[in-house]
This record gives sequence, structure tokens and C-alpha cells, in this order.
Amino acid sequence: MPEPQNQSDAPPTLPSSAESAREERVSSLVGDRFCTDCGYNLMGQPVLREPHYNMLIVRCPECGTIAAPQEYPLAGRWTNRFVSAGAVLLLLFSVAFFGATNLLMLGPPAGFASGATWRMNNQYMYTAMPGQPATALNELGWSQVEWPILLWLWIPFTLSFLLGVTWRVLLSHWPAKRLLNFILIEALVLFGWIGVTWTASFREYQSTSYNEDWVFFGIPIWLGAVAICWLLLSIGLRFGKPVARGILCALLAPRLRGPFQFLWEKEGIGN
Amino acid sequence: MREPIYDLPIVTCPTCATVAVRTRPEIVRAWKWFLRLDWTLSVLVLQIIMLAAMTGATIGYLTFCTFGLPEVWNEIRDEPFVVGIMASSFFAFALLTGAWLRFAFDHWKPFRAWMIWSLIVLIAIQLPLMSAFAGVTTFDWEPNHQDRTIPESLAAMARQWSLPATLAALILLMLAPLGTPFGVVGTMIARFIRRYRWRMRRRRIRQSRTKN
Repeated sequence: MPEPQNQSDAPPTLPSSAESAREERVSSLVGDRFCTDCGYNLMGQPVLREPHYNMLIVRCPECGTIAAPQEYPLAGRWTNRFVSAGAVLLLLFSVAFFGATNLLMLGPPAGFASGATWRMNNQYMYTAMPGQPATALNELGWSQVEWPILLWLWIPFTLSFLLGVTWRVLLSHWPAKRLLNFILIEALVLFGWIGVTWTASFREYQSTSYNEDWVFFGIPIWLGAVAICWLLLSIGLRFGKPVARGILCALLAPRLRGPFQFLWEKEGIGN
Repeated sequence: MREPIYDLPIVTCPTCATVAVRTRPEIVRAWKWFLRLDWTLSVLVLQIIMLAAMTGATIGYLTFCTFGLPEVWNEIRDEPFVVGIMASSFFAFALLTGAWLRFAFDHWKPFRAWMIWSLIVLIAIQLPLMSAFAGVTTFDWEPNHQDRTIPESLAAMARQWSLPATLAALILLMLAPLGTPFGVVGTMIARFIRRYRWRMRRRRIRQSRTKN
């Protein structure tokens, strides 16, 4: 450790008036940075060039602790292990959340489409003439679908939009153009899954009258609902940051919004 | 090793003698950030739960006022004590709403918070309209119930639910600002506790520094 250029009798954290006079003000601190001892937000405090080591420092006005704006992180073995473990956990969480997103966008619309078709089928079963073939239901057409039950689709629609907003917050370090990749992957997964289901159902659609209704009416309704969900997810991704900022401003006091500061930065975390 | 002047852990470049401060590793800072995020998210979730609970409670209370009260009115009308209890509970609920609005949305202007809350309640009252269309309720206004058409069903719904519930909600919302002083007191207590904890924390830090 080098000897300081100029020792003084002042206490460790409180500069004497002579030292204060020799501290050169360089600029002021922009953005949130919290005192390591008392947690006070140092934003706006002057950045000083101190006379002893010629370092840049910021002094906490509450407890007097010195903070150095330069950052030289340690890179010990255990630190690296913890970082790797954290990265793996984050990756696993992202994959699980991606799966949950698809499940939530496919499941509820399928349930409501199935409900509309099942009711339609039931209605037919009660009103059909004895001996009439089950395929005659198709001739009744779309007018027989139980449309009112589909009003409940507002729940998966809202959920899809909120999922889009959540993904935008999680991917806030991505530039807007890269989000297009995410939207395309989502489309591939969602519509691919519906396509596979449709093909499988079509092969055995004549087994029961319900299957027939599901193939000709249920799956198209499901497809339409999922397409709207996907569209709302895309809108949520596009406008996610302003929406998230609005929700945070509405529900949280300013002092609690610190951890979400990256939402107010132009390019997200680390930029 | 910490240097004696600022009590900072410093290292010196052996070649150019530039002094730099060793700072906390990124993962430690990330952990601290996570802890703060955890607290923030807890508050956020609590706010959302409270918002949903207050909306549910308001709709539930309005349902009682609209359907439950007329059913039992003939039985209780001659009992001033029971009527008084019911009126008091209505008033207390309005005060609770006002206090909650002031306490939970302290960072909002009171009138703005009240206006937005009123809007939420008045929209939530109309949600059973959807149930009526979807045919999942057993209310009297359900389409096809007693061979009603949808317009007749909507008119029945407006008569039996929307209008009385909106009227009750308006009275409730008008009374709600009376609860504001309770919310202000709650806010002041919370602020005092927060400041007191910070003051104690800073005092402990100063004391530990003085001992060292």
C-alpha cells in the first residue's frame, strides 16, 4: 500500500476544511448509487478529485462514507461459480416462463373454443331428429356456435398483453428490432402446435360427432383466438416499457422504484 | 487492507502507481439489487392484491345492498338497532375506502386517486353484463330466462342491478373522502417508522465507526 501524499489528523471520513478546499470538483453523480454503509442515494452529489491519491470520490452527505466511482470487480473462483450458477438459474427460469407463456396462450382459448363447440354439440343432440346422421350438424353452420361463451376470451387476451409487457421488462436489454425474433418464435410455437393438433384431430374426426365439431368449428375458433392472443402479446412487447412504467408509477411511491430504474434508461440494463 | 485516510480498500498498480479502490464484486451488488427488487415486488404484489380485494369487497358490498338488503328489509325495518348497525357498516366501509386510497396511493393527488378509483368501481359494476350475455349466471336477467330476449334481459339487468348498484356506489364514493384523514395519519405513522429505523441505522454506523 502506498503512503498517502498528505496525511492529516482529521477523522477517517470527515475532511478538514483545508482538505475540502483542495478537493477538486469534477462533476456530479448521475443515476442512482447507494451509500455502502447507510444506503443513502448519492445521486446528484459532487464527484471530487481527492488530494491524497488523486482518485475520484463521492462523499455520502448523511454518514460521510467515501465511495469510489471507479469499479474494479473482484473475480475470485467462488465469485465466478456463483455467477455461473446464477446464469444457469436465470436460463432455466426463462425457459420455464417461455413454456408457461405458451401454455397460457394456448390453454384458455382452447378451453373456451371447446366449451362453445361442446355446447353446440349438446344443443344438437337434444334437437336432432332420431336417425339423423351426426354430420348433418355441419350443415347448420356457424350460426349454431355458442358465441356468448367466447366473451370470456377477454381473460386470455388481457393475460397475453400482460405477458407481452412482462417479457419486455425481462428482455429490456434487447433492442426493439431483436424482439421481432421473439415474436416470430412465438408464432412458430403457437401456430405449429395448433397445426399439429388439427392434423391429428382431422385423422380421426369421424369417430364422434364432438370430434367433428371440434375439427370444423372448435379448432378454427381456437386458431382465431390464439392469433389475437399472439397479436396482443406482440403489442405488449412493443409498448411494454411505457406500460410497465405507468403501472409502477401508479402503484409504487418514487422511493420504491429504484430497482426498476433500467425501465427509464434508453437501452435497458447496463447501458 | 484499508488505507488510513478514507478507510477504503485500495490497490496500487505496480507499474504506473495509479491507485484504485477495490469495489464489491458484481454478484454481491446484484444480490443487493435483488433484495431491493424483492422488497419492491412485495409492495407491488401487495398493492395489486389490495386493489383486487377492495374492488371485490366493494362489489360484494354493493351486491348485498342491491339484493340482500331488500330481501330482509321488511324484517328489520322496525328494529332501529339492526338498521343502525347496517348504516354504520356502510359508513365504515366508505371510511375504510377513503383511508386506504390515501394510505396506499400517497404519491398521488387525492382527487386523482379518488377519480380513478370511482372509474374502476363504476366499470366493475357493469361486469355482470358479460355474465348475462355468456349465460353463466342464474340471475333473473339471464337471456332465455322466462323466455326473455337479450334486450329485455339487459333492461331487467339495468333495473335490478346496474341502476341501484350504481346509486349505492355513488353514495359510497361520495362518503369515501371522509376517510382521508385516517389515511393521512397512517401515512404519517409509516413515514415516522421508516425515518426512525433509518435514524437508528445511521446512529449504529456512527457508533461503530467511533469505536473503531
